[in-house]
Amino acid sequence: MCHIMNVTPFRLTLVPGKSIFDQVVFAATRSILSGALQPGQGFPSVRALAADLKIHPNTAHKVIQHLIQERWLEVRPGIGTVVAEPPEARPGDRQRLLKEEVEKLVVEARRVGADLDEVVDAIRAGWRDMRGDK
Amino acid sequence: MIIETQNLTKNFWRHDAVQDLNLAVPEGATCALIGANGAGKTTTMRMLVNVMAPDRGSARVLGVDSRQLKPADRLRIAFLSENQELPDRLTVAQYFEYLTALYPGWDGALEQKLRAQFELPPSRALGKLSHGMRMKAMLIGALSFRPKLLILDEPLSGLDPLVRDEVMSGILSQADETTILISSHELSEIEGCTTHVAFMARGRLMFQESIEALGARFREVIVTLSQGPDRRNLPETWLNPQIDGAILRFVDSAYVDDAQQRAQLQKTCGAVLHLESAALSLRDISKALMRSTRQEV
Repeated sequence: MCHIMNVTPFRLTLVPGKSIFDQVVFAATRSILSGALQPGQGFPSVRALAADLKIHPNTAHKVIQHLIQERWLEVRPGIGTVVAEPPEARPGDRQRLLKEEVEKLVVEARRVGADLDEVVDAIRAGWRDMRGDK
Repeated sequence: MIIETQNLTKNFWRHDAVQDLNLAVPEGATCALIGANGAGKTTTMRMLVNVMAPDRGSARVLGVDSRQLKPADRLRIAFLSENQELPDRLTVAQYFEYLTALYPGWDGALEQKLRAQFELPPSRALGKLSHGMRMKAMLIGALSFRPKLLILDEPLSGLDPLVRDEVMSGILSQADETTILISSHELSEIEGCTTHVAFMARGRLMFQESIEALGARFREVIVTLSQGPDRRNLPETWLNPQIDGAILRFVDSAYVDDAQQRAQLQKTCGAVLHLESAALSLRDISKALMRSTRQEV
């Protein structure tokens, strides 16, 4: 059995300067990757998501549509929107992560004066926190 | 446009309460009208719903001149304000019976749902309700006829955090169906559901834009220079500059990107030794704007 949640299983603390849409998408995908939300589990409706996170329903709608399109969620007729198996990465995603995102991290780390060991340790810790070990 | 004003003006005695206001709120927007106390927000809203006539200029609301609003138009516009008068002798239950009869489009199911959620005591007289309960009763009254336009003047003021949450969730439950103009000082509460921001100071509309555009052009900047800057050289878009020796701190209201900001700093202040810049919440942006537009006494 599956039921659609009325409680949003992740929190949103607004960070200035980033769009609310991006922040909610990130929070949702994080909660799927960390295992807080399991495949097959119901995902909150537009109204529940808007009410819980205090965001505009149109933004909540866009977030859910985006997550469906990116195959994080799927629509089950008669049930509603449920969490899908984490989607296959698109070709290029891995390269983008390893090159561009890591470069950004390295630049930021050097700016704040963190050394390589510190950065590697922090990545390890973050990796462990996401329980979906792969 | 759901709301569109043209040079809307109201003077109280010799004081300009609202001056040449040109406000435009598109359909589906949740527009936050922000500004310091006395900026003219309430007066603007009162003119929009024709509780008050403008001295000059005009406002169109749902395509109708505000002074020509007919009873049929009123069935599509909800106005909720802190000091609204209610029939205090009626009980909560009687009040909703009265509203049900008044509005043809009354949504009884929504009314029941909100009443249960807000835990309003049905047999208590409106005059005996606490401020929070009164606000909740008015909100149910405003939402349940499913208006096209919801004008909310300080709906959150004086409410405890739990009641604020309840009121916000009531407003949010309708935000996809209606256009909302809301004034509030509780900016961290409304930031997530705001799509547009209009800022007023001393009766004038300083700007109106999408919340994304607003967030993108504001940065708080702390910079260490090689020598103390000359205050007179700083551009007007740098709000509330504070100078302490070679350290300069300000809110940039025309930020584009880091490179441009650094170049502008070097041009106006000389060599930059250290630069930190951070995006701001709606609350902090609003504080910076209020401080910079505060009337010199």
